[in-house]
Order: sequence, then C-alpha cells, then structure tokens
Amino acid sequence: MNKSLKYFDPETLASIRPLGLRAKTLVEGLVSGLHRSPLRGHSAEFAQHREYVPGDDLRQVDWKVYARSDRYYLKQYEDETNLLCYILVDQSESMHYRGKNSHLSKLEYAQLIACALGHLIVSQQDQAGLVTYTSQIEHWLPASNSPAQLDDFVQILETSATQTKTNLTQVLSDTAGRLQKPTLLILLSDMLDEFESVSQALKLLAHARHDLVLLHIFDPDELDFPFDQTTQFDGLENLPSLTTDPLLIAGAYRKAMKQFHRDLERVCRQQNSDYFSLRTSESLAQQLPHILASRARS
Amino acid sequence: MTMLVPRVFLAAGFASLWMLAWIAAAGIPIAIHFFLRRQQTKVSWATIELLRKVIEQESKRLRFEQWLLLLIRTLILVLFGLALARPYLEALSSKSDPVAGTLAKLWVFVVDTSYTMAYGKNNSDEADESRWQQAIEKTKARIEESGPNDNFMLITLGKPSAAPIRKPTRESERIITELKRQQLPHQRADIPSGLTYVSSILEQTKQNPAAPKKIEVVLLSDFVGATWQPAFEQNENALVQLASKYPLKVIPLGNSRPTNLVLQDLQAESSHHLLGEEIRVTATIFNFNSRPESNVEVSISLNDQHITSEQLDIPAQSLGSVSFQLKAEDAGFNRITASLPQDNLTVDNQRHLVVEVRDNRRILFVESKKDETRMIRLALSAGDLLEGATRADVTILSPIDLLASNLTEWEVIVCNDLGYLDRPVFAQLQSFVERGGNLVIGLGPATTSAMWNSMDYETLLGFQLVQASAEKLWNIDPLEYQSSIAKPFQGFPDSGLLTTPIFRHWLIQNEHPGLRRDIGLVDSGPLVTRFQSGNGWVACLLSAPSTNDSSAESPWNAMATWPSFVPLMQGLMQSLLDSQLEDQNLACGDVLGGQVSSTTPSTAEVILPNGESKQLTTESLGDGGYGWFFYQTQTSGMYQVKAEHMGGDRLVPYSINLEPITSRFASISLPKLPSIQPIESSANQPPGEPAMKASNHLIQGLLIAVLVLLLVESCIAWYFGQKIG
Repeated sequence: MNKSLKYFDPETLASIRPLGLRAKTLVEGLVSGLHRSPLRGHSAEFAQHREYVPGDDLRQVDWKVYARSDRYYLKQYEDETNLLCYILVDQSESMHYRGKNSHLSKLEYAQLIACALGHLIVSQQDQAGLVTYTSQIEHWLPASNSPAQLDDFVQILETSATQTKTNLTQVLSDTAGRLQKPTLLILLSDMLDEFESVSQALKLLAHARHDLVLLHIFDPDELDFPFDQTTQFDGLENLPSLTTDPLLIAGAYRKAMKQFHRDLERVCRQQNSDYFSLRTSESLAQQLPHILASRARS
Repeated sequence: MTMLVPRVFLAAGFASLWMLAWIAAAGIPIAIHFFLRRQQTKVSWATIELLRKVIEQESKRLRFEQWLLLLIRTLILVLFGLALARPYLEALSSKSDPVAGTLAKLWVFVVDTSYTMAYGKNNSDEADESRWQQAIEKTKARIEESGPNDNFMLITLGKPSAAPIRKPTRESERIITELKRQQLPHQRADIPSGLTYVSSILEQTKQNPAAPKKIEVVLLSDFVGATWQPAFEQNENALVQLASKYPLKVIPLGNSRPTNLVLQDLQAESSHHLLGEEIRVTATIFNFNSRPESNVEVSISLNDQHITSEQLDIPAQSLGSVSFQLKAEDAGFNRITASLPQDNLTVDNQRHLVVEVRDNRRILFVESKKDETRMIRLALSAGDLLEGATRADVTILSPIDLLASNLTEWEVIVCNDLGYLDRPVFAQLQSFVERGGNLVIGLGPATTSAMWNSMDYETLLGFQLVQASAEKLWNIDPLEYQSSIAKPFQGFPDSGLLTTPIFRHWLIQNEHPGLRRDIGLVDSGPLVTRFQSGNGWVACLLSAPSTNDSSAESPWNAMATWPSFVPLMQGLMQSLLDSQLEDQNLACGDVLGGQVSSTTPSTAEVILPNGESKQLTTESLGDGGYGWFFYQTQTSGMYQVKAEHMGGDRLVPYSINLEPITSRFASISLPKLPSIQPIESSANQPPGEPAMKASNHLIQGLLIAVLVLLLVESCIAWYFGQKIG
C-alpha cells in the first residue's frame, strides 16, 4: 500500500483514537496526495498574498515574489477569501449502524470526513462551521478560520452523539433560516427520512442559493443485504421490528435501495447540488480526492 | 326417452398400504419451513422503513411464490408416496351387484403339498426357508393385500387333494393357521385330479349365494417337472381349463435349479431268506445335480443297528448303485434302512425294506394220485440238492388226508390237480389262503371246465376256466422277464424256459383286475398266474395234459419233463413267499391292512415311524369276516402293526417309502397363456387382473406427474431465484 493511502484505510483509521488524532492523520494523508485545494473561491480582483501550504494549487504561486524573496506565496483574490462553509453531520440513531464487514459506523465515517474537510478549509484560511443534528439542530458552531476552530470541531463531534430519530427537513429549514448569505453546505447523512420532505428541504436550500454538497453515507450491508436466513430486523430510531426471509426479498430490496440512491442523486442534480454516495467500507483515499476533484472541476 | 347408461362402480385400494407411510414425508418441507422460522437471527437495522415498504410491496408475490413452491414440493412427495403404495382401481360393470359387498372377492389359495415343497430346509441359497414356508409367507402377503370384505378358501393339492377350508370365510388368519398346521405328506400330488378337484369345488362354491361372485385363484407350487408334467400331457390340460374359468395367479416357489440326491430304490434279491443266508440288498441313487457327486456315502442299518457304509461316485444326472450283504441273526421280520447324507430335501434320503428270515420252508404237497407227479415232488425238494437254493421241508398228503390236517403248519401248499379238490377241501384251502397261506394249483387230467364252473374257484384263482386249448406246440412268452418267476431265466437261453413243451393249456376268462400274468404263451393266454386272495397268494399253472397222455404212468404233463421245470417251481415258491412281503413293503399313501380270522370286532395297534401309537378297530368286510385298515400312511418310514392274525403280541413291520422322482426334478415352464399370470417372488402384487392393469396405469401416471412436477418446481424455483437475485 502506498504510504499516503494507509491514512485513508477505514481499518487503519478505526484503530486510531481520539477523533482529533484520527482526523489529523487523515488530513495529513489527504494533503500529501493533493496538489491543490479545490475548495476555493473565484475572483479576478487581487486581495493579498498568503504563504503556500502543501496542497495549494501550484498554479496560484506568485513566482515573481518567489524570485524576489525565495519564498512561496500564493495570490489571493477578493471572493476567495470569503469562502464560508458549514458542515452538517447527521447524528441520528441510524447513523450508528455498522455492518459486519465495516470497521467504522456511518457516524464515525461522517465525523472523519467532517474533521478532514474542516481542517482543509481552515488551513486555507477560509471559514468553516459545524452543525450536528438529529431531529433538530444539536450544535451550531459558527464558521471561523481560526486554527482553534478544529479543536471545537473535534469536541463537538465527540460529545454530541445522541441516539434519536432524524428530522432532516426541520434541520435544513432551520439551517437555511440561520444563514444570511449563500454558503457552501456539506451535508453528511444517510438520508433515511421521508424522501418527499427531504426533497423539499433540498429545494429550499437551493432556493436560498446555498451551494449544497450531499455526502450520502451508507454501510455496504445496507446496499448488499447479505443475509441468508430468516432474520428479525430491529428498527433503529424507535421503529418497530419485522421478520422476513432475506433470500426472498433481497433482490427487491437491493433494487429499492438503488432506486433510493438514484432518486436522491436526481433531486440533487435538479437543484444543482453535488451528490456523492460513500460506502463506509471504502477507503477515503478514493472517496475524498474524488469529491474534491469533482468540486474542482465544477 | 330413457337412456340406459351402464353404471360403473369403482373399487380403489392400495396394494402396499403400508407404503402410504411415505406420504408423511410431505410434512418435511412444512417442518423445514417451521424449523427455519425458529432458527431466525436478530439484526439492528437502519433502513427498516425501506425494508418494510419492500416487504409490503412484495408480500403478495412472496406469499404466492412460497405457497406455490411449498404446494409443489409437498405434492411431489405425496404423489411419490402414493405411487410407492401401488394404488389400484377396479371397474365393475353394471352386471355386478352394486350393493355393498359386491366388491368383496373370494381368494382361493391352492397350495401344492408335494413332498418337494419341503425342499430348502438345509439349503443356504434359499435362506433356510423351505418352499412350504415360502408358500405360507406368500399367502400371508396376498391376504394382507386383500380387501376388508374379501373371503378366503384353502385347497391343498395332494394325493388326494383336499379342501381344509372349503367354505368361504372372512377369517383370513384361519388360512395361515391351517397352512401351518398342515404336515407335508411324503408323496407327490396328483396334479391332474387335483386341479379337477379345484374346479369342482369352485363350481359348488359358485352355487352358494352367500359367496362372493368374484373369484380369484392363487396357485402356489414349486412346479417340479415330474409332478406337473402329467397335468400338461393330458389332452385337456386341467390347468388351462381352470385358468379359462377363473382368474389364475401363479406363484412359483423355490429356485429353478435345485440340487438333490435321491435314494431312489432299495431292493433285496429276495424278501424271504433262510437263517444263515446272506441278504443282498442294492441301493440305487440318482444324482439330479448338474455336477458329478463323488464319495457319496450310503449307510445301511439292520433292525436300527448301523451295519456299514459304502461310498460311490455318481455322474451328473445319472444313477449309481451300491450293494450290501447283510446277515440276519434271528428268524422273523428284519427291518433294513438305507440312508444318504442329508441334503436340501431330506425326505428322499432314506428308504426302508422289510425282509423275512425263516429257519426253513414248510411245503405241503397234495398229490391226488401217488407218484403221478413225481417230478413236482422232486422239484419242490430240489432245494436240498442245489447249491444256494432254499431248504425245503416237503410233506406229501392226499386230498382226503388234507381235510384232517392243520394247514397252519405249512407256508405253501401245492396241489397238482384241481380236479380232485372237492368243495370241503376247497373251502379249507380258501381259508388257508385268506389267512396268509400260499397255494400252488396245477390243472391235471381230472380238471374239467364243467366242474370248475360249478364251484367258486374264481374267488380263489382270479379267473374262470373256459376250456383246454387245441393241441399244438405252444411257444412260451416270458413277458419280458418282468416277473420274478421268469427273471432267473433272463440271459440264459439254454436254461430251457423258452423251449418248455406246452402242447395244451387252459384258456381263461373273466380275469380279476388283480390277476398277475407271470409267464404267457405266444398268441394265447397266460401259462402262470398269481392272485392275491385275502392275506395269501395263489399261483396257477395253466398247462393241460396232452390228450395222448392218459396212461397211469404218464407224467403230470409234458412241462414237468423239461429241465426248466425245477427252477420254474423253485421260482414260483420264492415269488409266492415274496409276494406276501409285498404287502409289507409299500409306498406312501398305500393302505396298511389285513384280514383277521375273528368273526367279531377286535382291535389292532399301529405304531407310526415317530413312535406314536394308533388303536384300530377291525372293520366288517361284508362277507362275515373282519379286517383292519390303516390309511394315514402319508409319511414314509417303518410302521409296526400288532393284530390278531399276526400272532398276538408280535409286532409286524411295514416299510412305507415315498415314490421318488425319477425324472425332471427341476421346475417346469408353465404354458404362456393370458389367463395364467405368473407372479414372481415379490409378494407385493396388486390383487386382481383388472386391478393389476389399472394399478400399472395409475402408478405410471403418478410417476409421470412426479417427474413433471419436479421439472416445474425446478423451473419455478429458478425463475423466482432470478427475480430474487
């Protein structure tokens, strides 16, 4: 395995605690594998220089300054400095699910991504905020580019886990109400809520001109449904249990699950939002660069 | 308009009812279903709402698919179980009585009781089960397959055949009990008459309104060729006739290549011996095996004492014989038994023989005219002169002296001329013969047909005289030397028998069926006859004096002048004495019996070979006399009888031997007729002909349905699986 890739292996990450160290490990690996940060603004008006940090786009290095000072500086433009990002993490009970073949639960996977992205944004001196929610917003960490922001990220993510039912519609409505100007929203969730209300909420965000990136996290078992004997499925989030022969409905379930993913993706596309589906068994070395690269292209 | 529609009634059942137990296997898929439900695991699940929606959407389809698969799988097992149970369906036409009970059938079990049915008791290749035991088992199996209202009859083919259960009964266990109770006689069944007997019994049964109208005959036999061949040699084959009247199922028993050694014969050169003489007996063995048998040991015993054993080699399918020389220590009846080592059929491994040993022979010669028949006297006493011949104590009396004599002193009385015997003498001689004495009668010059016909001589001699023949030189016919009288002359043409001068002889008529011809005349009647009268025997010389020989010095007749006369008379004496022993060397089924001198009822005792004793009461013979008779001689062995005329407390032995098979011991091929259905050893057969056909169709249909369902199930399961995957 490439040295940098080991930082993204869920199995490796699962063995690292606490979350801060785990996220730092992930970011170090991530940054070493990136040549430039895709999370940036667009503007033609020069604002200031800032020192190069690994991961910055080499095309933005001011080579004239380098020639004069022998140090790397990047040109920053007016809008670029105004990047405001909120990372929304779903902490409902369903996010605690971890399949037999996974090393991280969906929530752990989402926490990692949230920390990594926050680290990336803050390190670019952009402002990143954090929102955790269940049926309502549990914590709201206002956006900031302070280096201490990352410590707050970790603290909130580690302490705010509760096990209740989700209400994504309410949360997104509240979020949209709190934000004064268009913001980059990164939503980490398994999206297990009423599809129609979710769809309405996403439309609401798009209407408010927020830039939404939906990272749909799911466990591989939720898609593959790898059960072969009669099973009693106990519902999370206080939902009643049911018993069935998985062999008889596996096909239909997989089909329905795929359809659910396709519908979500379709809704997101309709609202000009980015949609990424993430399996918790997959290495973040593949997932995060893919997401960042997609954003860069956009 | 009214249409008459023939009504069809169906009778259904299962040939192997217990096989229906396999239908219980249909519960297996259901049990698996419930078992798997109990074996469920628990999982916490996040996408429970999605799962619930999927289940709700799929539930109808799933339920349908599950039930369909469960139904098909259960149906496969049920149909397979039904096929194993061999169902049958009988259609009864409207001619049958539609009232309940018409479906009942009358099963007539006809079982061969020939002694060969005991084959297999010591036979490893027939699993230590005799053919008779097999017959019981097969009968039991057929009964188990019968219907609840069926009736049963049992007929045994024997000699004679019998119907132990003649009246149709629903108590099937009686059939088995009766079969187990039966003791196989040591006889071969008389198959032709037996089958005729079965037909007659069934005809009578059909007249019985209470008996089921539907009759099925089940014939169980080993079909040994020698026993069954006579049934097929008849112009009107009794088996075919029976099969043409009734549905006939044939169950062959035993294997087709039996192995067996038979002690076929045990003969003594003579049944009478004098004390000190050697008794020469010959045992003949037939090897029915397909391979030669070497060192076959034949044992001989005398009066239950083992004497010696001899070994011999016998080629395959051939005879072998071995001779023994025995010497009796005491006068009287001696019991001789020859035995082979026990094989698959033990009953034909032993034979018995009774011979008599005497101190000497006491002969009374009734000479009508002194010295008239000097040659006869010489011939009777020649035993003293001839080496190896018998010793004879000859007393000569005139007919007049005979009346005053006690005839019990003599064994043989010889009268040279019947014409001199008046009625009192005749009566005395008749009494002598009936009590067991032997009489030799010559027809001398005094004999006339007029005198003959005025008296009841035929009751003593077995024929009536007609007249003397024309005078010419009649040629002797030895009748193939079959008689023990002519036999010594066989192979010795110079001994003079064939050239014995017979110029005249008496012609006879109204011959009794029991009259034996020992020597005959070419183109004419007999010359020497023998006839059993009462317990004794009478021999008659039918030569007549020549019309030219009427002088006092002339010989009795020309016959007496010839060298053959002495051995002829000696042979006659011996044969008469041997004839008496014929009644003591009998075959199974023959009647033991004899006349008693008492004119009032008395008793006799018979001791059977197994030691059991039977008391008999004498029966009236109709002429004022009494006799004893014992009929249950179906078992071979040595019987012993104590009766009044035998000398009080003396036990007289009787040997009873089975008539062994001398040809075709293997099973015979039955005629291939549609009316005769051979049933192989398998006991699980459907019960009736229509049922058999219907059963085959039903089973075929069920098995085809099973195959189709298996195919359908595979396709459906594959299709559902595709949908699931």
